Amino acid sequence: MSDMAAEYKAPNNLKTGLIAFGDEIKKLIVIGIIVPLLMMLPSIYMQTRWVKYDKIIDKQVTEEYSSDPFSDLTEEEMDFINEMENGSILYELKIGVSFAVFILWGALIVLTVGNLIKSFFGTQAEMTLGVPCKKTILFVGKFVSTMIVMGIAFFLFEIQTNLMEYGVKFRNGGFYKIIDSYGKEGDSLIKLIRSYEPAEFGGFVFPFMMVMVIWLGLAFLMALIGKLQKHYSSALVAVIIVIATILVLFVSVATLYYGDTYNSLLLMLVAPVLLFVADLLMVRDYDRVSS
Amino acid sequence: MSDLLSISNLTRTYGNKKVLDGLDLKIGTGKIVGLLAPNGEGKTTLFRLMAGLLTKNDGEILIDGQEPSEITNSYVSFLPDHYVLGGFHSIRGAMKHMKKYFSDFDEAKALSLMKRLKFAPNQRLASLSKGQKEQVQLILFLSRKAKLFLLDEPLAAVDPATRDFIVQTILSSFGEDNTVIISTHVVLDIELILDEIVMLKNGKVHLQGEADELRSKYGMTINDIFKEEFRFVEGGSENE
Repeated sequence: MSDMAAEYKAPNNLKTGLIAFGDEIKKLIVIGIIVPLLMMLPSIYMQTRWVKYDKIIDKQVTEEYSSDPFSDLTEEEMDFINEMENGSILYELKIGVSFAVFILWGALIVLTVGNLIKSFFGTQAEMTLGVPCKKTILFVGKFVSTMIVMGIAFFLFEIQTNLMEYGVKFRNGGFYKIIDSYGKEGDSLIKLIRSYEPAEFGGFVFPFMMVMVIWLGLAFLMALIGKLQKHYSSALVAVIIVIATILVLFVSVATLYYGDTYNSLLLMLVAPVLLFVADLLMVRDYDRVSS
Repeated sequence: MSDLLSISNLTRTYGNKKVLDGLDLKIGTGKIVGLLAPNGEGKTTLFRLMAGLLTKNDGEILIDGQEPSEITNSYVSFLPDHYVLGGFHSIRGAMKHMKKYFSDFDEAKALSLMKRLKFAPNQRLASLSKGQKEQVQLILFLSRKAKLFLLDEPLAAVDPATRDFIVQTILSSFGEDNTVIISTHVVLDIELILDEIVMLKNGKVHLQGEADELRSKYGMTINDIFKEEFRFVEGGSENE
């Protein structure tokens, strides 16, 4: 720095980073939180049906294989139980909601990835990065806010899927699925036998990790393109960059795959952590992708 | 007077191509500077380096004594050569963004300029034409009380009538304690407001001087000097 450098107060990076974080949340809140919340409505309706089912069963069953389970049931109640136990209830609604969740899932991924590329590495980079704040902090703000929204959205989708498929009851300090069509031997499907198994809401972890890896991986590749535009004439630098990229991406995909296979959260975390650190190193000396 | 911008031996490559090749440039405060060069001579690269969006291969850039960083972002206003407000729904949204991130953003000035061009704050950005969008963008970036304005091709996408407005807006943002650097091909419309001219060629400063001095030295307008210096020769790229 020259001797004539003016004395400037460093900008408040944390404050600006938090503002950017809040802006990002605001940008994604409708599609990432409000719409998934609204999509819970059909499953809440389904739960009211399961509550009704549970009440009817409670009237009848005290233990398995009761000798005459139908004795006190009205025809309407029998129809209702039959419908619930055969899984045919509101089939179209289930299919429709599943399809909508699938579409929303895709839209969220496309939106967040597109937003990352445009606003951080592409046409809107000047607007995002022209603010008085360290680029690494802006990147962390964008990543954390996006992942919070995605995490909430995926968790809501997971709950929603479970609530559409099963009756869920809170008992023994946890959530349990009501298993409806237990023991289907004999002519009648209506067994009036109810049992429970722990409800798992962990099915969103792998897709969430995958989205994190896609997001961070694309950020890594975009940052890399910026670097390569500057350095590709140097064979050594280019070779090092390409080998490093292959290694990072290979380790990311492999750990994610084995993490899922062996149900190991620790192994699944290797890829996002590795890519996150690689991204921060790249973004620290940011080179905008030039068209 | 000390230099607001001091660049020495600046080099930046894209692969094998040295876009800037040991460029030296000093610019003082209180000037409107025209950065003139044909396409591909490194104007945008130079602006992006000054704005901290690219890293250099070699050399030094100091803006009021500071290397480009988040610190210089607080007193440098960089208007890129393309539309960057796509992430906002309305003009008001974009203004809020500017106000939130830049303490030197003058909202009253922005509103007044918007009004003069008959833009309403609630107007949706998507409903504006390409030229109108660029006008809004220019107003937002010029409504900062920055020390250094970097305007990359601000006149490229606008009609001649609006060019006059833009020139007036640039003048209204200019004061003794700041500097405006404008890159443009549309030299004729802007040359009368330029105090200083910098022409880039082959990655270096090819010509630099006070606009009046250059006019009297060459006996022609800056526009004609530009045409003369970068005259396209059939069979070759340009006049050497």
